[in-house]
Formats: sequence, C-alpha cells, structure tokens
Amino acid sequence: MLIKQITLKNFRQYKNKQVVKFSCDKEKNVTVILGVNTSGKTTLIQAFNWCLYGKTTFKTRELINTETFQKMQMFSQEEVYVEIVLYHENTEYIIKRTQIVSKEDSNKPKCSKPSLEVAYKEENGETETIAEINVQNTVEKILPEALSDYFFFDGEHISEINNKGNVASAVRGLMGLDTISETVKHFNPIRTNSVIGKLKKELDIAKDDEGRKLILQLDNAKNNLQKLKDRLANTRKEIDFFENKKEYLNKKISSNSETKNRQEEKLRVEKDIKFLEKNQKFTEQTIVKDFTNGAFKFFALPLYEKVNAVIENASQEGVGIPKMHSDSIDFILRRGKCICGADLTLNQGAVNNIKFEQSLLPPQHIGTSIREFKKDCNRFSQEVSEYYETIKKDYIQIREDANNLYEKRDRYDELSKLLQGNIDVGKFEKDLVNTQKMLKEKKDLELKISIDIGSLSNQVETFESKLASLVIVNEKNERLKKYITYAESIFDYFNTSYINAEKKVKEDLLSSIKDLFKTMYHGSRTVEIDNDYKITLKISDGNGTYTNDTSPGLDTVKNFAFIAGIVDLARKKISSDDSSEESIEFSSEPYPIVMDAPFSNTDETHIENISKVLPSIAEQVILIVMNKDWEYAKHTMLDKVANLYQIEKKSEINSSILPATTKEAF
Amino acid sequence: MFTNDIYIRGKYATYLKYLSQKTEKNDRHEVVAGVFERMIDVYMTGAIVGVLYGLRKEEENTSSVTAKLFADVLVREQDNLKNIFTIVMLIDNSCGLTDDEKIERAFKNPDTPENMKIFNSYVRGGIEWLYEAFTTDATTKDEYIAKIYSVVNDFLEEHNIYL
Repeated sequence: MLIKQITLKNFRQYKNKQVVKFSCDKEKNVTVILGVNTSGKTTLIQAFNWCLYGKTTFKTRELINTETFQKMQMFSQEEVYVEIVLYHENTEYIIKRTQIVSKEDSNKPKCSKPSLEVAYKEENGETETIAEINVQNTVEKILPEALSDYFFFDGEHISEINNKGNVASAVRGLMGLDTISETVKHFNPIRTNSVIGKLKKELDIAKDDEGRKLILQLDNAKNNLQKLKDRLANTRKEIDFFENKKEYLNKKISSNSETKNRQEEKLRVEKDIKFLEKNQKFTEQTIVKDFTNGAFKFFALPLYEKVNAVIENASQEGVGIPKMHSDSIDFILRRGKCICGADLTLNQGAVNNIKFEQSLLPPQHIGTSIREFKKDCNRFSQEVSEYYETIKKDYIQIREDANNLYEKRDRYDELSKLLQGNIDVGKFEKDLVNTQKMLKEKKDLELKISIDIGSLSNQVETFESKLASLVIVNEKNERLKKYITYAESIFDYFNTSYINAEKKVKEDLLSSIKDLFKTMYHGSRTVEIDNDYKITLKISDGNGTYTNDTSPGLDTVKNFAFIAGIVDLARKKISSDDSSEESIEFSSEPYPIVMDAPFSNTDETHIENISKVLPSIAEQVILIVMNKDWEYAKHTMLDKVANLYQIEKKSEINSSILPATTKEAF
Repeated sequence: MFTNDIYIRGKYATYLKYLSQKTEKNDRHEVVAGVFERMIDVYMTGAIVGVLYGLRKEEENTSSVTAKLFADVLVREQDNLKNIFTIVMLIDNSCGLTDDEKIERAFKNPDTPENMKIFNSYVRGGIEWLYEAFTTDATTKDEYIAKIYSVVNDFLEEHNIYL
C-alpha cells in the first residue's frame, strides 16, 4: 500500500478542502509536513484513522470544523469527509468516509452516522464502486486495523510500540504470516470448526460401522442360505432314495406274501415249541411229584390186607382182662400161686399164659397203637385210590405234549425246508417300517429347511436393501475421507511452511533490527528479540550481558529500529522473488510509514541517524514533524524528500496545509 | 427210631441216587432216572417193595458210593417211616414168628438193631427192584418218565388191583 493523496474537508481545524499529495516515487519517497505545536499534526494522523477505520481519539466527538459550523445556516447541511487515494496491489483505491452534519441547534451540530465509500480504478480507467456491505472488509484487506498503529503513529506512542501485547500477531500480519496462520487455523484438525473438523463431523462413521457389520451379516446370511439350499437338495435326494426304497420294499413284500405267511407261521410254531418244551418240563415234574407222593402207599397196597390178616390172626388182639393191672399179675407171679390155687412154680406153661395176659394189660397194652396203625393203613389205602388215575392223566398229558411237540417240530422242519433260500420278508417289513420312519423324518426336515430358507432369504433381502441405502452414505464418506486426507496434507504443508517461515521471519527481523539499531544508535547496546517479537536491549561488558532500564529516548530509537526492521523485511520480501517449490511465497505488500512527531525525546544524533535510515527501508515515508526537529533531520533526509508541506495555523480552529516555501524548510 | 442219619452204601447207594431227582438237582451233569423227588422217598418205597416181594439184601461195599439220609429229614418223615417199619415187621416171615410174635415185635419193642437190620435189608432189596423196574429198556429222560406210568400200571395188573 502506498498513499497517493489525502483530502480533508472540514475535518477538525482543517477548514474547507485540504489536499496533500504524497510521494510515491521510489527514490524520493519522503513527504514531509511541517507544523508547529497544536497546528493539527496529530489531527492528520487521526484523519487517516478516521477515514480507514472510523475511529478517532479526540476528546470532543464533533469532527466538523468549528468555523464552518458556525458559518452554517440554520437547518442547512454540510459534509465532513476524509478521502484517501492509495495504491494497493497495483490497484488504485479511493476510500472516502463522510459525515453529514446538520445545524438544528446553533451550538451543537447534528452528525449523521459516517458512511464509507470505497471505489477502485479498473485497468481501463473506469471507477468501480464496491458494494456498501463490503467496503469495511476491503479496507481491512488493504491495511488491517490491528496493524495500522505501526504505520500511523505519533511520537507520544512510539515508545510503546514494541511493548504492546499484540506485537507478535501484528508482525505476523505484516509479514503475511497471518494469512498462512489463518490457513493453518482454518485447516487445524484439532478445531471442530476447521475444514477438517467440519469434514470429520460430516463423516458418518456410525454408518460405516453399520455398513461393515451389515456386509458381514449379509455374507453370513448368504453363506447360511447356500448351506441350507445344499442341505435341501441333499434332503430331497435322500427323500427320493427312501421313496424308491419304500416302493421296492412294498413290491418285494407283496410278491412274497406266501413266504411271509410261512415265515409268520414258522415264528408261531417256534413259539409253540418253546412253550411245549417248557410245559414238558412242568408235566414231567408233575408226574414225578404225584408218583413220589403216593409211592410207598401205592406199593403197599397188596400188603394192607396181609397186615390186617396178621393182626386178625393174633389171638389176643388188644383184649385184656378188664380192670386188671399189670402189677396184679406181677404180684401173682411173685407169690408163685395162681388165683385158682395152682402152684405156678411147677407149671411154666401157666406162667407164660399169665405173662401173655399181662402183656395185654396196661401199661404194656398195645391195642391203641394197633388201632392207630390200622387207621393209618386204611388212610394210606384211601389216599392212593386216585393214584393210578392221576399218574395216567399226567402220563397222557405228557404223551399229548410230546406228540404235539413232535408235530410242531415236524412242521417247523417242514417250514424251514420250504423257506430255505427264500427271502426273509420279515426283514423287508422291518426295513419298510424303518424306511417309512426315515421318509417322515426327511420330509419334516425338508419342510423345516424350506421355512428356514424362506426366512433367511427375507433377511438377505432386508440386508441388501439396507446396504443399498448405506452405499450412498458410504460414497459420501469415501469422498469426505478423501477430502480429509487432502485437507490434512494441506494443513501439514501450511503448518510446516508456517513454522519455517515464522522462524525465518524472526531471524531476518532480528538481523534487520540489529543492523538498523546499530546504524541508528550510537551506544554499546545490542538487541535481542523474543518469541513474542519483543525487543530487549542488552549491555555487554567484560562481566557478561545484562539488561538495564532504558530511557524514553532509547525506547524511541529501539522502536524505530523495530518498525524500520519490519518495513525493511517487508521490502526485502517483496523485492526478492524467493519462491522455491517447498515454500510458500508470502505476499507482503509495501507499507508507508506515517509518523507524527517521531523525534520527540530523541537527541539530534539519533534524529540524524533515523532520518538516514528510514527512507532507505520504507517504500514511502510521511513525516509530520515540528520545524525544530526537522532541522536535525533534513541534513540527512532532504535529498529523499519529494513533497514538503507546511501547516499554516491561522487560528486555533483554522489550519491549512500548503506546500512549504520557506527557506527554513529546505 | 429214625432219629439218626442213615447211610446206604455200595451199589444200593448208586441205585438210590439214580432214582432220586434230588441227585439231579444237586448235580445237573449227572444223568439219572430221577423218578422220585427225594432219596427218602426211594428209601421208604424201597422198604415196602422189598418186603412185598420178600427181597432181603445184605449190605455190600463193592463201591465207595455212600448215600446219606439226614436225621432232620428222617424226623420229618417219622410217622410214615414208623408205619412202614410196622408193616415190614408184621409181614416179614424170615424169622419164623407167629402172628402174635410179629405183633409183639412190631408194636411192643420194635426198636432193636436186629429189627433195623431186617428193615434195611428189605430197603436194599426194594431199591434194587425199583432200579431194575425203571431202568429196564429205558435210557432217556422221556423213557424214564414213561416208565412211571408203565411200572404203576404193571404193578396194578400184577397184583390184580383195580383202583
């Protein structure tokens, strides 16, 4: 940016229209405006600020020239404006801020809200107005307000210039680093509002996961469906197999019905044989039992009569002499004399008879035993009255069973012979039962698989339709991911470039400031610059380097060096076309230095030094100086001065800026 | 009387065992006629048959086979055994006794070694008769069983008994 011209109309003490043209010449790049105290030097700086940013630091709010206002008719209007013509990026801009003032009260002007107009000249010479909505932005682009302090400053503030909190951002902005810093910020993935942040927000990662899950599920479902279909095919093959087998077995069975009957009969006969054999054992046991039970009684049958005969034949069968006791006989035998008087000692026969009689008497009496015995014998005889019949019956049963068994065995053998070499229909029937069972199982299975296939097919369809809707999201995600990758690359590129550039800026700035400081300052202090671009002055002696307090004058020199350093750096940037492939070419527009009373607090040597340096480092230098300071500056600066103005103070409320004509000025 | 174990020895022991089913039950591998349930049944029937046919056989020890009739079985069959013993004592004519003397022997003082000797000699004779009756022309189980009927039948015919 180079300022071509400023026009003030009724702006504070500048009555009517005042035009100051600034040198844009490369060689003679200095414009000097001389003025005495309170002539309106600071107002000029304020005019720049008001025009560009609508701000002033006046104690009174009214901008209109007091005389003008006083001369205004009641209810008339007058305009106050400041118009700056400047070059920026090879385009001429006309920036004009206007305030309409109405006189409705003789003491107090009524001021409208100032309006800003920005126009630029196109290549064909035509002027194009920028829409109202964009005017302030355009100004900001030309010279950010934050940086304006470094270009439009007055001597009272110069000592603070390097102590401001936003030095770092100001330097960055000036060096074009803020653009890249904005870019870095714009892409920074950490910030949610950055390009990457927003892209990431737009990414539907959940849908991605859902998609992956869905694809897996779909694959599974498809696999399972295929498996089920294979299984169904197999099952149907099995069903065919069993159907054929069933048919075959039915045919076999019906064509072998006679054999089947025989086989059944054989089984029955076999069962009968088993029963008869078991029964035979039982009847054998029965006959043995029956035979044994009555055996001795039966074989004794011919003897009972004989036994009876023996008992019958016995003379004293059980009949003893009534009332006679065996002891009575013993008495008779002991005395040797019978009751008939006969001598028993001489007659043994009589003794025997007596003894026999005794035997029939109690206790030796046996009649009871004999009677019991006879009773038993009768019982025995009666008990075997059915003996023969029983044995005979048992025997007949045995014979019948034996015959029966024989017949059955015969039949069994016969059937065995008939069935020899024949098919076992029973086996077929058993097989048929199993086959039918298997057939039912397989048909049930077929039904189940068919149902499963149906439901799985539905599932597959659902998955596919869901997936189809996800594909759209996926495509978007893919696209976004690509964007993010690009954005991250851009971020990395800019971030790295920014870090490198800032480092270089700082190094260059330091080196530049050091050089300039050395040129301007005639003492032994050296300059250091910290991360926040703040400058510290160090004193080195034999004991080391340390910092000590500085004076306002020293601060002015320091800040001049700082400003000059910045401007110098900016100039170098623009003049050197150092654009390698790996670095970004930072745009750095040249800026003017507009200074009001820059040499306050500065001694003459420093004024000389500064005056020497400033024109060589700034593209454009506009100095608003007191005549007394100009005395020291002009020696070293005059040959660089293209335009020299003098502010003429007619009264406290009326100043004019006119080209200087006095001898002192030159 | 019949309160102690009784031992039958030699071939009569073999016959006794052969006719008894009890033997078969004790040893399943031994092939016997088994037409009587127990050995005591053979013993008792043997006594009757022996005295019926007047068959007295002395003890003999040509083989070491012994059949033992246990006292407890004898005691359980005491009544039948005593009646059989009485029958034998009344029928036996080997001692030339009168009927009165037979009664005296049978009822008054039957339990003598002499009487027991006579009784057991009939038992042996009867066992031999039974053995022959059941084993003649019979070698199989079926035939032995069939013999039961024919022995009973033949016996009735022989003695003109009509039941």
